[in-house]
Amino acid sequence: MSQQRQTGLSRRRLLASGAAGTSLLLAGCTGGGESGSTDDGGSSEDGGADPTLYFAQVKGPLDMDPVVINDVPSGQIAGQIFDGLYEYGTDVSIQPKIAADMPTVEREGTRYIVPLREGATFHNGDPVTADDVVHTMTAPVDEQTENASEVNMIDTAEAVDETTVQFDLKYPYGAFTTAMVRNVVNADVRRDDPEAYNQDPVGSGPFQLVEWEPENYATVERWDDYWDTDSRPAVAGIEFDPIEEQTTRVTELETGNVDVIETIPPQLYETVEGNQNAQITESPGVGYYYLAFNCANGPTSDPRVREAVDYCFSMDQAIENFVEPSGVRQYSPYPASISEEWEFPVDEWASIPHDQDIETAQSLFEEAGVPTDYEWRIIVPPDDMREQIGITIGDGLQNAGFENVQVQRLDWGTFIQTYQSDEGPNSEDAYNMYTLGWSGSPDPDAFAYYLLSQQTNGVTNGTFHGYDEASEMLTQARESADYETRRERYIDATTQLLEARVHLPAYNLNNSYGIRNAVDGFSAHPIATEVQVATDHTTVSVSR
Amino acid sequence: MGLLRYTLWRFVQAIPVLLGIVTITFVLANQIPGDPVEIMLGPTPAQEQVEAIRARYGLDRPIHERYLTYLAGVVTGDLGQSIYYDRPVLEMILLRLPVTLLLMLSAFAFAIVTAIPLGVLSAKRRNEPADHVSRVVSLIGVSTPSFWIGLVLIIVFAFYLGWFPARGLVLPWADPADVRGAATRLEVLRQSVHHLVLPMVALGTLQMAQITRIERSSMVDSLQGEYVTLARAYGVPESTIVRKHAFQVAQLPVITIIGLGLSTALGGAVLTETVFEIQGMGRLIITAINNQDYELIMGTTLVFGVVYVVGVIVTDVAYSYLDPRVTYGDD
Amino acid sequence: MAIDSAPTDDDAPVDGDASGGPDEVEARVGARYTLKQVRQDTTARIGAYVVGLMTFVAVFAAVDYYLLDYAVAEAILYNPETDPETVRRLLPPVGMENQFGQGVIEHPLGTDHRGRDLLARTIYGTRIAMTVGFLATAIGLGGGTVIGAVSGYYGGWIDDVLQRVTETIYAIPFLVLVIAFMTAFGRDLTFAMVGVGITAIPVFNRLIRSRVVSIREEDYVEAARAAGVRDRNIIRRHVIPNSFAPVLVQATLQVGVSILIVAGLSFLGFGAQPPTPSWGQMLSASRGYMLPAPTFSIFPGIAILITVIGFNILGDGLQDALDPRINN
Repeated sequence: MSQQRQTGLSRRRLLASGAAGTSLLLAGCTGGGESGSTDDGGSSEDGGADPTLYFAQVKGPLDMDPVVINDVPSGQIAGQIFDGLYEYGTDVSIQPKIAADMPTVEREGTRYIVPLREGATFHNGDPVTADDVVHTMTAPVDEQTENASEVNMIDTAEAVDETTVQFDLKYPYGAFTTAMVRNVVNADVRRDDPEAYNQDPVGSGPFQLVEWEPENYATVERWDDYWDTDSRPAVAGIEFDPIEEQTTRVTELETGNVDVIETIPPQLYETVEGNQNAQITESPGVGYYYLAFNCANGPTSDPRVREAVDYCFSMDQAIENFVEPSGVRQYSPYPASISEEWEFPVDEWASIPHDQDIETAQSLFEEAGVPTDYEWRIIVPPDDMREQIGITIGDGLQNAGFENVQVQRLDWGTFIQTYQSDEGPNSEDAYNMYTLGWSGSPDPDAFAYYLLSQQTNGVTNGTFHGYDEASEMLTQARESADYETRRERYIDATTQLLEARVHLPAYNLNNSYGIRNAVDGFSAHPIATEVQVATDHTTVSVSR
Repeated sequence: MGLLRYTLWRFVQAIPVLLGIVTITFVLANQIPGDPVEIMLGPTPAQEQVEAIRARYGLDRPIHERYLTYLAGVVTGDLGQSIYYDRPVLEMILLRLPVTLLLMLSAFAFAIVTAIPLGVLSAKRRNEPADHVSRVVSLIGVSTPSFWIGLVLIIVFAFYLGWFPARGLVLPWADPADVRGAATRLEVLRQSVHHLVLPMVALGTLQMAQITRIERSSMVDSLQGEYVTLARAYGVPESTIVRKHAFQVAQLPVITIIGLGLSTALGGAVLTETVFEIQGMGRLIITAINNQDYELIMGTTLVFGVVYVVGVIVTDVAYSYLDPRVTYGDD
Repeated sequence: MAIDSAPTDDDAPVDGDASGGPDEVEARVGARYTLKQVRQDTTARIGAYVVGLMTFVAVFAAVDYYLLDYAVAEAILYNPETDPETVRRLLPPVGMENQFGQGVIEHPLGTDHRGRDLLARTIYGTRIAMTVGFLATAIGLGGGTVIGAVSGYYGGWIDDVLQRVTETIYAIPFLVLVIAFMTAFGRDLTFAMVGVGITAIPVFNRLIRSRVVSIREEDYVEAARAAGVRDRNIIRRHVIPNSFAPVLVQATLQVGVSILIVAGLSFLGFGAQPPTPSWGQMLSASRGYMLPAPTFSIFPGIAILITVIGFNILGDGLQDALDPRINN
């Protein structure tokens, strides 16, 4: 069964790399396979009866130790080598893996008791015990690793006995089960030498790591003694190679040098689909791309002005022009997979944004008293799509009669500095609005809380809005462990904030893969790190 | 001043130069807005985590302290820890440097092997068709951006014709087990060459064209020089003239161009590595800068700086060895 | 080091005299002479035309951009910076066809990935290229000449220090320098220009220095010094004018080099920022579409090629014209 490590709450690298490779951090890393570089055309020889799967990622991995992993490519590979305490199914539903069953929740959502199954073993023969689970969940905070924020709500973790783990949280956290979708490490081996563990990890998953090099390549091979007999791989191994340049990636798929490629940009869809030997599988990711307003300072602090901006342009049209088909229009902070799972009123939310109506826009601007020579400032990160949204809005403002509209594309470093703040709301000179994206775990909290709660103002939320009631509801939803309560709060709070236009939701990107027809059983998953090759519900095979 | 003394003196002078390099880079790197840890983590709710990681990398200490600590480390061979890769800087450099060196040396070899004979030929057959063709080719060579050459080569030879791979390098000393489709060392070598062809041409064309032009003009000059004329008058056969008298003297400017070209070649390597997705030093530097990985920036810069300084010294020494008319230092 | 080789100087007069007379003979390589030579040599003429054309285009583009806000561009062609309302992306040149459609006459060279007209963008990209080319060369020329002259003339420890300082700056891979510079102070084209200018300094530095080193041995310079003429004046009156020819040649060639360098910087994202059109940046954007729309990658590259060839031919022509030894 393949592994996923949950994507967690703050994925800068997902933001930067984008699920669809249209934005390439121009000088970013990857590429250059020393090993596993392609031969001239045609398929390759594989040892053994079952073939090897050749998988082209967009970027190469940086780490192999789940305690430190903080990027998508590493997560995809680690998912093959490790088992999670809990794991994702074909969608974002959670099922136990190392755990024996769903957790028992006590003490008003601050205590989670997890039973572990017996019989799970690591590649080196060690049994998977409660101690391993405890270490897995506490090491990030102990060592202050990059992904520690995914588990820093844990106060203490205790191995009650060999097969039971008890987590006491610092505060009630309804989404904790999602946090427990995490790869389990071998505590003994790791504690010995964590750095070596990153180079030579020991997991309990269906594949074993053969070799890897940072940003370069990784090879895994099937572990024949995998303890979970329902999830044995049908391929002898997987070779991961990064191919940064999208055109090259598509060509390699066409020639058959690779079996699966990640992330197909919109202009190349036709090329892939036109190829008789390959097809595309895609799924909207667990992401959210949006325009946010400075709700504290400047004209955008007035909801009429925000509505006027909404009237200046058509977001539907912009998304159609610049995002589709590698992405989809989204009307709320929640990606489709979450909205479905939680039965959110998507239709209602979809009726909130306005079509373009310059006259109404102008009258609203006038009513709110915004002078026509006002100097608008829209900041965008170094990403083509988000820049394009910003430009579209800028053009809309110009159509409404404003001459001084500046759309500024900032470096990540500068951008983060600009919208984050230690000292309260940012001034209107810093920005009136910004476009940004977000990727999170498949729980509404991962989106609503970090982007819209007043608690996160200046950290992940640059709006500094004053909707106390909605913010309070988000906190309540976060803390409750009860599905119904949470659902109600999220619906109420979100509707309020969307009607107040604190954000103008824009789009979500698809996780797209090109697969050769010889590959069977592979499909795209909403979560980018989920490359499910050998699970109890999916087994990928290749016929050569 | 004797040649040996001069060489040693230049090496001694190299020390403040290297120190200067490190200092300037340090200052520049720290000027960059934003914080490497924040960039790495993205917007994160846990501020203590940011602080803890910064402390781990020593980023919370005052700048002069970091500077001195770094210098002390360099002297002992410790180039610090890369924030982005979470590995020692030296490790990353050792991983990537051979790749870039392979690329640069093969481009260099390509340039020299092609250019010198071409330039000499061009000079000997001055104003004949062969000369014109060579001059046009080298003119285009110095006027075309190397990355564009790379792109065009990829489009034509990798995508349309499929003769060469579009990306990556295979190190010739790699183990056959690690290289796909290679069972023996010989096949690894073959693949290595196969992958090198396009990037080598892309990177080496500019130098090749430059050297051809210099070689030609230099040979033309020396073929008309005083003692060549004299030798001709004495009836010395033309081939001997070319070989013995004209050639050696003509190499002076060529050598200078080569030496000066080292720094440009490093820049060209970055572009070539980007176009061909080669994981070498060039891309390492850019990744370092983009992520504000201070120690990695300084480590890679230092390595490049050392290579360059050594190159300059070698060039100057070779120059003064070959041209007795030029003296260095005090008269 | 420069293209010119052995540092003898046929222009030097036989007997030295620090006053008026010899100046005319030494500095005979003046503007009028140069022009005459250029006119006579065919290839140099072609180069001059190309350079002239590009300069004209650049000036025109600059005027239209700064003063008229692309008014002329919008009237005749298309605004090179804004995306059109009806987005026709990645069209091939007129007369050709690709998966995105047929080439149309309104977009003679096709369109880019955002539907902007390629011809307009290529033309307006000239502004960036030429501006950076000239200004960077000017910086290199100014800085390099001063340092080289002082360094070569005085020799000794001054020489050492100055040479080592330029080496330090030049030893930092210029990309690191420029990129760090720009990331630190803003991705403004000005910094790219300064950065590229700095890379041009060593070229002129070495050129001038070697000229000076050889010239200072000449009798007339010795005589001038003996006569008590100040160093500064000697440099000004004898050394610099005598170097005019090779410097002019080198400067011409250096503009071409600078254009190539800034194209590389733009390619990596450190040149002119979008939406301002620049050739290198256009090439970078074209990378993603090499398969379905290869023509996108062609035109900006050709533009660079033609421009730089122009400067190179002109420079070569100047060199042939101004260097008496070759003309046998």
